Amino acid sequence: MKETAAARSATDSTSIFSLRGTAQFLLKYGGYLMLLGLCIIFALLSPTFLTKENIINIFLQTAAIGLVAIGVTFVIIARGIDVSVGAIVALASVLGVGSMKTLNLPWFISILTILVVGVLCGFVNGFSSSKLRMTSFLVTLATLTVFRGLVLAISRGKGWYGLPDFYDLLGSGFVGPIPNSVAITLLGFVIGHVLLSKTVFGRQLYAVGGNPEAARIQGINVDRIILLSFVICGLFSGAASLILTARLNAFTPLMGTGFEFSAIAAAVIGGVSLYGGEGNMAGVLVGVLIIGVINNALNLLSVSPFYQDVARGLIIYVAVLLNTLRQRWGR
Amino acid sequence: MADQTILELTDISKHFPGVIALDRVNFSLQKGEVHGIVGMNGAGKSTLMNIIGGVIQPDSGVIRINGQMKQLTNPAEAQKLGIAFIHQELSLFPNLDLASNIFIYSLPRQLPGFVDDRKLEHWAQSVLERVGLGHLKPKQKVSTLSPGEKQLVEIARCLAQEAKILVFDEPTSSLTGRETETLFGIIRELKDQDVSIIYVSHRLEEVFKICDRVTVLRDGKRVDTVRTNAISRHDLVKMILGHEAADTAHISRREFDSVLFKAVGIRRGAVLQDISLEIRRGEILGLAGILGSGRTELGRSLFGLDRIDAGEIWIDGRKVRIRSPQDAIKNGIAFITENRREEGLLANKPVVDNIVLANLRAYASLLGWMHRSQEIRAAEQQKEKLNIATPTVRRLVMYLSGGNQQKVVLGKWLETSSRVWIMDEPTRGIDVGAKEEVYRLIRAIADQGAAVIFISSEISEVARFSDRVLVMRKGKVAGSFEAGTFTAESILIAATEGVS
Repeated sequence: MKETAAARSATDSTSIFSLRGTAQFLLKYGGYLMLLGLCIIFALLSPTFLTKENIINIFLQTAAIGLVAIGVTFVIIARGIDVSVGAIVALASVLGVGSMKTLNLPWFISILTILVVGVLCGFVNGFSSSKLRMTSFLVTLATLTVFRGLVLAISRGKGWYGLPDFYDLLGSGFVGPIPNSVAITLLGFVIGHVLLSKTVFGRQLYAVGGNPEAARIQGINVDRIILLSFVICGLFSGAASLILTARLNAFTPLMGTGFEFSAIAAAVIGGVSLYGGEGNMAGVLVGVLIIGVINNALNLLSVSPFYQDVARGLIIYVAVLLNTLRQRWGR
Repeated sequence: MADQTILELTDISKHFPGVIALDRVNFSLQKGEVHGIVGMNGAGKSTLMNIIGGVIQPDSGVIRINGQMKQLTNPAEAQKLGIAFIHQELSLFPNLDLASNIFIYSLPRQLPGFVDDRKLEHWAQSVLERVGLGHLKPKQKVSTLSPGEKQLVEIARCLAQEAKILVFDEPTSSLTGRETETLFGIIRELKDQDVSIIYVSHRLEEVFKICDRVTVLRDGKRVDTVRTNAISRHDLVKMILGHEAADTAHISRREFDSVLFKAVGIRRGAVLQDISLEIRRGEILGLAGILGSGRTELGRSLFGLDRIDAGEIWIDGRKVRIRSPQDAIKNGIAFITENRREEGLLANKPVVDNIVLANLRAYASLLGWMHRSQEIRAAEQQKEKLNIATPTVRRLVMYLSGGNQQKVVLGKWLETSSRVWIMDEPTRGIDVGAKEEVYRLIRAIADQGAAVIFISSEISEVARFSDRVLVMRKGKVAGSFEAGTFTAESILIAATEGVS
């Protein structure tokens, strides 16, 4: 057994020269190469792409999606999925902003409301998916509809514009050269990374995603881990709602629409396996940037909105294809 | 060996609906002892193991651990008392590294909630050394290991949980010869560390090699517990089989004409190593072997479910290429899977839908439109012919008994023009009365000129029912018996020890 293990680790390091090895290398680092390639192409196609303003713009536009992507990554690692995240963003915003606009509550209550609503929505999704043994896709499809409906019911379909100073400060201020919302998202990635790789919870989350049955045998409280993954997802969605509300300096009824697709696509492009148990924050960050760069470039190149959707749909298609191939060849 | 009883079971009984799985069984395990448990399928081994592991509770009887009466109400409870099962690779996390796999339940912490990775690695290294995996890195992922290494990691995990009693269930079925030797080395070392081991296996030579004592179960009763150095293989086999089954040879008085099905030099990795067989028209070839011998794999490969690396298949004197089940069906091969519910039937569909399933084209117009009345008629005919007990062919298959479900499977393949039948455990999960009926139907299929491969883990069934018998062991043919030359005993010996 000694020799076989040694032989295997030897092939691990040299395997890039074989066909299969090349495929594995591409699947592993494909995200980075793809990001680099896209940047080069777009820089050649559009002179404004590489300007400082545009780069800051890309980060600003993707900050909220980034936070949501961090959240869904936790759920996906535990073999779940959450398609209600975009609706959570809107629901948290309408309640948070509404608490100020109609109930005249102070701004810090409003911020707290946004985050708590996120957590509660995540709890509902998580409780249904773990304790009630419901399929997370269908649970969150249902809650997506409920949350969206609530948003329209509460707001009567109208937006609220003009928020107190704190939101303005949050939305347009900077930490050094970095816009506040971008700084918050980067902090989110750091927290996500620490949670996943340094904590007992993180290790157990991967265990549940890798082999739920074995996790149960090993005495891990699988239901609790799954519930927590959804709560974390809800919390990050709440945070996304906060920075989006601040940047828009408004609540709008359609905010967060399509976030679920961008966020899940970003996670999957970044190497999070839809089969559970695989994925890390560095990859997700790359995935988010790829999504952001593509969205930005489609606008810069003035592609019609309809074709933009076609392009985004195709990107998700390719991402899922890559994910499946990785599952088959990755090990 | 210190003569100190760590685990003692007294008068354990367990009834399942219609069966007495265990009947006042006694069992005792000494500290530092390797104790084998042997018996035929259905003898009660798994029930006994499940009781020791806390998976099921006995109806009556007493369990003592270190002399104290204990109730093992669930697996976690058993684990806490130091009883650990070595599962077959199933309970590892392929995506985690070795260290996390070993200590997942008791990760070393620093600050609240954070993993102390340095300590974890350190601990893991020392446990890995205990099971002879010191050359592996704790940071290595489990998915890079061989089956044998994975099993050793499982043992490491049990040791990390301070297990005092390790239960092995057929541990060598997925191991290579060298890995088996390593495992035995580890078991001997664990013994010296006063760990007790329960070793369940069909492989008698392993039992003799590694076990101090062996308990024989038969029909839910303990036949005896003996020291392995005080009994011959022959006597042990006799104890396993019981006296009635051991002597009478089955003599097939049938005459067969030409060879219908021939496989030559079938190879598939280490699983099938150069298997050849031939079956004549009207003949039932019994294929015996213990779990992991390759008997099921051979069936799957001949049907095109698994790719073969080399080998030829001939049907009716013509060489055929079988790369997929479609190829097999086209060439008149039928396959009855051992997992009837999962792979053999659409349980939530009516009987009629199942019966026509393998030959849909026959009931369809050229454009693919199904003729329901023809389907119903065909299903009614099979129902009559096979005596399927169902009020109507529109009844959902899931509401039928096991025996009747199997008849539906047979009916499905009878609707095709199959001449070669591969049957993997066709009587599994079927009660005794219905079994006889299934045997009769299989014999009737053979009598109509088909060639039947009858794969079964129940050796007495193979001995009684086959015209000829092929015994497999570790992917090779371990014995080939012509009509009238085999008994259950000779088959069992060939399957477990490889004497031909």
